[in-house]
Amino acid sequence: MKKILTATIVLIGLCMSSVIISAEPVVEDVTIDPEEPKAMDTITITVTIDSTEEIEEVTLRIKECDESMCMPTQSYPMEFENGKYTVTDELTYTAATYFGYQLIITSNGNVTYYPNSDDSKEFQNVTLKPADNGGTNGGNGGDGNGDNGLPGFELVPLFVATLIIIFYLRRKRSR
Amino acid sequence: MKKELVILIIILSSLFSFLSGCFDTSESVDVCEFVFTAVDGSQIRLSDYRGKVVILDMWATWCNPCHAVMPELKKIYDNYTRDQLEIMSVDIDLGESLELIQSFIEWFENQYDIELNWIFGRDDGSISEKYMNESAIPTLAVFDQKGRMYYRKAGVHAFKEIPSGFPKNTPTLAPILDELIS
Repeated sequence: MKKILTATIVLIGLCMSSVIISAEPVVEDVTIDPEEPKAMDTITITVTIDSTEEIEEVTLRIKECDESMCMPTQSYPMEFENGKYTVTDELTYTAATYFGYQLIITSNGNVTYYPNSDDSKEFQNVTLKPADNGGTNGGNGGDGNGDNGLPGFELVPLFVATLIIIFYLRRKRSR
Repeated sequence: MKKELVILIIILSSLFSFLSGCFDTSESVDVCEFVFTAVDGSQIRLSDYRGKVVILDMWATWCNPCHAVMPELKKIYDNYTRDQLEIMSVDIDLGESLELIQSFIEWFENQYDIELNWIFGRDDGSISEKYMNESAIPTLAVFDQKGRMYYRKAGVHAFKEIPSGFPKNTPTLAPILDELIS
């Protein structure tokens, strides 16, 4: 009986370990320096990842947004140092009110996303304080209305012709 | 007599150049063309939509302000007939696939109970390069019935009334669309 019980426990343990081995990487900790970043800051993101399999690559994807628009995302490979993955990025959107980051972890040919392992569109958002200079960049310029067909350049020859006539008439009167 | 004739010729020629600007019968050199791949794999060309106003919505699945614009685009889409207006939402992120865009549409429709029934597709880089003047999304451009770009601006837009949560200076598209379509 004891032998059967022991064998059963060992078998269950083996099954559990095989499940653990195939588990996807888990992001244990993410730190952002500075803790309360401002727009245009240089930020360092440090990540601790627990994985039973070798991690081939960790990429950080960042977007900078305000309430009205987002700048295109930037992607950076993270460096592995002292057991952690790290990357430094200089924020560039002066009017940004938050930035969002996403981790793309490639392990054993599989890709896992953080914060949502299955969702490649989800980012973890971090609120930004206003930039020190408080300026705006790439904000609400935009183009105005299109051409509505009114003449513009054509007024120039009319103006020139009027001047010629006035000049001629003045010369005629002065004779 | 000669001098009066010269003056008359000058006046007539300047009047002619003035009036020719008012009666522009030729098609503008600013007629635009772009092509992208729709989620069903078909190629969509702006030139195939002559006679209709076209709204080009440049966006990406990860862009939250772009999500916020979708309900407003839905209002616009439902307010005009297909003979009058078409909307094209083109994903400008080259890393996003047509399958991802399709799954986004399904997710959004389930999440917000809003049918995204206009044209969705993916850019190959040519549209963002040409029409995103501020490198920000969403960027909306409006093309008139002759294919000329009439309006372009980055940021969220509303149809008529500015929804709560939108910036107070959010531009509205109704005046532009009514002017073009009426």
